[in-house]
Amino acid sequence: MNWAALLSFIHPMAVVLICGFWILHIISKEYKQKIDEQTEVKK
Amino acid sequence: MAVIAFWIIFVVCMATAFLLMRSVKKADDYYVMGHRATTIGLAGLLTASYLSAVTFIGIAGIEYLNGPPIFLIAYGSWIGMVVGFLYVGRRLRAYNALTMPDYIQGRFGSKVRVVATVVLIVGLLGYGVVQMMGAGVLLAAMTGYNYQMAIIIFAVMSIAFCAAAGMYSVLVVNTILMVTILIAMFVASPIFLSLGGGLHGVSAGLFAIDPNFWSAGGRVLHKPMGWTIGQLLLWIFFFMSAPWISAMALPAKNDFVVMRGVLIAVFITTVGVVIVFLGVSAVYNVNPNIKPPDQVFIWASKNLVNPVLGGFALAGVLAAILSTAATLFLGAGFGLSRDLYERYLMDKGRSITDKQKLTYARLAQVVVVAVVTIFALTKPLAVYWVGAWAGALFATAWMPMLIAGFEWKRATRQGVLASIIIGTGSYIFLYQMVSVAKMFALPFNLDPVIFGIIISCASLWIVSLMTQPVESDMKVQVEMKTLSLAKKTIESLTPAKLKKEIFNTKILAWGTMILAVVILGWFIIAIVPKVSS
Repeated sequence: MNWAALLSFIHPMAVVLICGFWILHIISKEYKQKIDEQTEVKK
Repeated sequence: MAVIAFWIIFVVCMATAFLLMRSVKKADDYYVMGHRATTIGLAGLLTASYLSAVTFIGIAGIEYLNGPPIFLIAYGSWIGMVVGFLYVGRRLRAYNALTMPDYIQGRFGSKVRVVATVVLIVGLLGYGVVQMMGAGVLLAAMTGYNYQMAIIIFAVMSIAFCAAAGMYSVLVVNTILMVTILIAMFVASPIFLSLGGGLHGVSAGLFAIDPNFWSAGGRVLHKPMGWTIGQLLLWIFFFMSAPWISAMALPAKNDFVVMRGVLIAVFITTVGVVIVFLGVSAVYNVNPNIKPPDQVFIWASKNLVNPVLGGFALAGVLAAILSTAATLFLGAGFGLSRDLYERYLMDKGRSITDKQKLTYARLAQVVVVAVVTIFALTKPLAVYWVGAWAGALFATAWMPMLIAGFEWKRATRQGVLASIIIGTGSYIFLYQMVSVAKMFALPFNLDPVIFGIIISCASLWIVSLMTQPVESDMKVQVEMKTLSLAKKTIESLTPAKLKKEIFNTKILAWGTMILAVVILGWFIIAIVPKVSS
């Protein structure tokens, strides 16, 4: 297995995945909680 | 055709910049477009600011001679951009800073701001010289003018472009020219790859010529693992602290624009750059004698594709260089006019009108471009190596300060000053001793920047523990922990709009991840077995 060749494509793939999951985490942690709080207050 | 494409871009840029001048009424408009940037605008801005002469000329030349892995592995600027935008940029946007030194002033006071701004200006000028040199090489090849004349033309273009409408110019022209950048990456480069034998040619073909084409250290350079790790970390820390990357978050309308903008930019720059690097590597199968190798993308655009397409591809490279150069020049100009001169006047108790602020900002642009032009005319070093040197300055001087500023209440002004001065000084010293004079080698052949960063962090930590933090500085750190761009965004949107924004952002996140896995996974399946012995 040529690890240099594998890393050449795993590296950019990992960057996109990190970015995507980071943003999903931001939405889940910073937005969803606030929206759930607002829904509870309205109830 | 390339000449015609260049003059079209020249006219578009100048006309747009002067038309937009009327929209720039106050300093806010000039610096951050009045916080009105949309997702597509921001994605274009970030993509075009990220891509530059280093990608299409400097590294392309290295890839051509050495094969794809050397920089596909070491290209830490990708993750640096993500961290710079989501970790640094969002915080600055929540703090409502107009520039990064704004935040430094608030967090660490004016002495640190002045020193940090001087380093900022030197680093931006250094990276600006890289862009100017790359533009000179490109324009000389496109127009037939000599390198010096090409530099002068680009300088005139930059002054008019930057001084007229600041960030507005950059964002609007980026959006118009984004098409040419996408053509360079996703149309021209695949054609280079195809004519170079396709995926088989770039993998098995190059491997058969020399297996080192698919080694981490490169066929010609034979760089050790320590160098690869050093370059990876250099570009991560450089782009993470690069003011013109994190500052791209400042014009955003809201947090969702920030998040979606970086998703699109990251997808385009990762997949697109992989295709560009495969394309220029494959060109070796067509012509192994391109000299200097920096010209590989230019040669391929002129000789391997239809003239109209080649013209657009070169226009795309020029657009990327102009966008990055403009952002750098604006950053250095803001540093001079706002962060040094205006602050100096304010400290003296003098008030400044918005009109005066705009005048100083525009004058500063002229000074910055003039200085960069003089250096670029001397052509100090190859494009890539000047860029790496400027990048190392940010990595050693700014990165520890930024992280400590956000995360460590105990960080003191003296600690940060020590970090900037000792970190920068140690990097310059080690670079001269190890890379230039070759007087000794560092352990594991690690790049001097790694040791510069370690020394910078250690200085910050030790001196901070020996000194007392200022009460107001600690208050700012605590305040920033409570500031939330998400909270500001929620308050600015109706519940229905908020729900829609969340949905759209999640769809985009999943969409880009799935596409990246599919495309890059396909490259892995098609290439890796053929280059594994």
